[in-house]
Amino acid sequence: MPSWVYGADRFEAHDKPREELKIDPELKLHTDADPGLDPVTYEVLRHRIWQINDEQFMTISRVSGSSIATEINDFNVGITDEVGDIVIMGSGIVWHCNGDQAIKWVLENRSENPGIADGDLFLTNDPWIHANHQNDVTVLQPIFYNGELFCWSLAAVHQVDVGGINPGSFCFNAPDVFSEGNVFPAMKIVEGGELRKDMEDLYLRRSRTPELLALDLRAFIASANVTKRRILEMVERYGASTVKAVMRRTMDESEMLLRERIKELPDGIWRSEEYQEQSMAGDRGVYAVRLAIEKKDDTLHFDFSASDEQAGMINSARGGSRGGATAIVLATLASDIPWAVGGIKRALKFNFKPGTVPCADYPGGVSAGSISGVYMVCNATIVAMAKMLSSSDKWRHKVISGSEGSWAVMYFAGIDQYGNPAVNIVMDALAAGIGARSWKDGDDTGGILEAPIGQMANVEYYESYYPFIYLYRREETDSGGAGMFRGGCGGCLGLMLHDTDVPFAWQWFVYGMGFPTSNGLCGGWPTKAVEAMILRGSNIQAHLDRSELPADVTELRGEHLLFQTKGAYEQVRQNGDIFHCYYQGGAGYGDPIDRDPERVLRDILNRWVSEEFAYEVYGVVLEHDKESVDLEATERRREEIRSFRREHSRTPQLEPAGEAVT
Amino acid sequence: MRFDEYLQLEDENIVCRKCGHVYCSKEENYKLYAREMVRNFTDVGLVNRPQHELMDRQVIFRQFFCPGCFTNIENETILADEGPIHDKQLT
Repeated sequence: MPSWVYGADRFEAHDKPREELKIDPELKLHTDADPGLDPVTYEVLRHRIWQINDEQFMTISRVSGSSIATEINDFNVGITDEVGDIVIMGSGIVWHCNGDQAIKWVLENRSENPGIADGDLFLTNDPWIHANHQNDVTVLQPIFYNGELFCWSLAAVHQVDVGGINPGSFCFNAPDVFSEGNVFPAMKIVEGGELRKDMEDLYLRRSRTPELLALDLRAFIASANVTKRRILEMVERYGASTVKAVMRRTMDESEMLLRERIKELPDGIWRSEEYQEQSMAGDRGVYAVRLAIEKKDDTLHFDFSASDEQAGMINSARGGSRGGATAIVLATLASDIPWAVGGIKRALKFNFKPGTVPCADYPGGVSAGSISGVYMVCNATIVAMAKMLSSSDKWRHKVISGSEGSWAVMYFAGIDQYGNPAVNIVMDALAAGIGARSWKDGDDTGGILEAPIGQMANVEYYESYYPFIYLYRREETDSGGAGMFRGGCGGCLGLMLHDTDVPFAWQWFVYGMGFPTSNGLCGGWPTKAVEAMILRGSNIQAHLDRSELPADVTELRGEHLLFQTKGAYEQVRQNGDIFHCYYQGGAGYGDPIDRDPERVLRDILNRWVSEEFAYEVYGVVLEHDKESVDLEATERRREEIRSFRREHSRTPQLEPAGEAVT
Repeated sequence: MRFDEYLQLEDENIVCRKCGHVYCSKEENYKLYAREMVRNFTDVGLVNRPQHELMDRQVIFRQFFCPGCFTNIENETILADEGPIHDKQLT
C-alpha cells in the first residue's frame, strides 16, 4: 500500500542497475576500464584499495570523540565505483552495505539540483533511502578525476542522539516517524570543500548531543579527505582506466566465487520465522518476520513477503532489511570471499511486501530499525541460511546456528561526576554469544555476526567518563544454547551509580525477553532469553564496606523492578540502586544428548553450564568428586531422556495437539 | 543425499541417518511425521518470568524427535497457534 503522505514515494530508493539510473547528463561519469589489466597489477591494486578502506575506517575511529566509534566500532566504511556499486566494504557493521542505495538515490535526485561536484559531501540518514534507522548517519563523497566522477566513498556511523521523543532516539513512545529523530534525505553538507554552516546547524539543532555529532562530522570529513587523497594517488600512478578495471574485476570475481558456491548447494527452499514482542511502549503484541530462501541454480532468492504488517517503532525500511540479509550472506557463505558487495549482490534477489515489519511504508516508526526490523531479518537469515548449508556435505562447515538473538541497548541520561550533562549508550551486548557450528562450539561472548570487529568498551572507559561502577561483567552460566555443539555464552553486567547525587534516567530497549531469539539447528536448543531489572535500594553498600564485590544480583537484597522490552525510563539513584541485565548467547547445534560428556564436564568446570542443567538437558552425571563423568550413570540418564521423549510426544499427522509438557 | 545433520534422502524419501526410519516423501513436511513435544520456556529454564507479563500471545518451545531412535532432530521457537514450519524442502 503506498504511503498516505504526499510525495513519499520519491524517497523510496531501490538498488537499481546502472542502466536504469536517470542521471543528469551534465554529470560526466568515468566508465573507461582497461581491458588488458594484467594479473599482477590487479592483485597489487586490489590490496591497495583494501588498505585504503582500512585507513578510511581507522581515520573515523581516531578523529571521532564518540565511544560508539572510538571504542565500539559501531560504524562502517566502503568504496564504490562511479554508480555506487561497492568495491570493498569494511568489517565494521556490515549491514551498512546498503549505502549503495543512497549513492544511487543521490545520483538520480541531486545530480541536476544542487549538483554533484568535486569537493562535495552529502549527508543522509533517511531509512527509506537506505539507513537502518535515523541514528545511522551516512556521509557520501563523490571523487572526481579530470572532471569525471570516478568513484565514491561512503561512511555510516551510529550517532548518539539525532532527536525525537526519547533520548538516544530509539523512540519507543513514538507512534510514527514524525515523533522520531530528524530524517535527512541527502543534503550537501560540504560544498566545494567548505562545510556549510547552515546545513551543519540544521543537522545538529535537534540533537541532545550536538557536540558529539559535530565531532563525528569532522571525523566523516577527515576520513573522506584521506580516502580521496589515497584514491587519487593511486589513479595518478597507475591510470584511471587501470584502477577502474581493478574495481570491475574485484566485483566480477566476488560474484563468480559466490555463484560457484551457490551452484554447489542443492536446489531447495528453507524457511524461518523470527519474533519480537512489543512494538512500542505499552504494546503487548508479538510480530513476525518470515523468510523463505529459495536456491535456484547459482542464485539465492530471499522472500520476506509473508512477514507481519508494520507496527509501532520496530520496523525497518527495504534498504536496511536488504543490507541485513546481505550482511549474513557475507558473514557465513561468503566469509572468505572479498566483500565486493557490488558483485556479491548480483547473486541475491529480494522480495519484500510494502507495509510489513521489514519493509515499512512512510511514515511508520523506524527509529529502532537497526536492532529491530533489520535485526529480525538478520536472525531469520542466519537460521534459514544454516538450514540450507546443513544440506550440503561440502559447505555444511559454514553453518552457524542462531547467534546473539537481540542487541540490547541501555541508554542513560543525567549529570555526570564533573557536573556536565551526559547522554550515552552502554553497548556491552556487542559481546553476545555466537551460535554453534556444525563442527565446533559457538564463541562465548564472541560478538555479533553482522559486526565482525564490533566490541564492548572497556569498563574503565565508562567508569572514567561517567559516574558508574561496574560491579560485575561476566559470562552467564547456562546461556549458551544446548546441543551436540554448544552455543556461545552471552554476558551480563551489574552497574551502580557513583559520585553523583543526581538520579540518572535509565532507558532500555531490546526484544527476546519473553522467549529466546537465538534459535538452534538440528535439535540444538535456543539460548536463554534476555533479563533486565533494577534492584531498588539494595544492600550493596554493606558489601562494599566489607570490600566485597557481588558476582550477581542474586547475592543482593532489594526491590526487584523488571523492565518491559520497550523502554520506560527508570530513575537510578546512588542509594543502592543496581542495574542488572543479561544479553543472549548463541544457539546450539545437534541433539544435546549427543554431546561428548567430557565436553560437558569442561563446561561445568568453567561455569559455562551448571551441573543441574547438565543433568536435565545433556543427561550427564558427574562422579562424587565432581571432576569426572560417571559414564554408566550418564548413559542411564540419557536413556531416561529418550524414554521421556517417547512417552510425552505425539505425531502431528496422526494425533491431536496436547498440553505443554512440564 | 544429505538433508541435514540427522536426515537424508533415499529413493525420494526423507530418512533418519541414525536408525533408517522413513518419515515421508521429500515434498512433504517431515515434522508432521516426527514425534512432537511442546514445552514452555519457563519449564525448561530458558525464560525466568511468565510471558503474560510481557505479551498477550504465547510463544512455545516445540521439539521434534525421530520416531525410531528419538533423536532430537529439530526445534522451533514458535507462536502456539501456528503449525510446524516446513523449514527444509529440497526441490
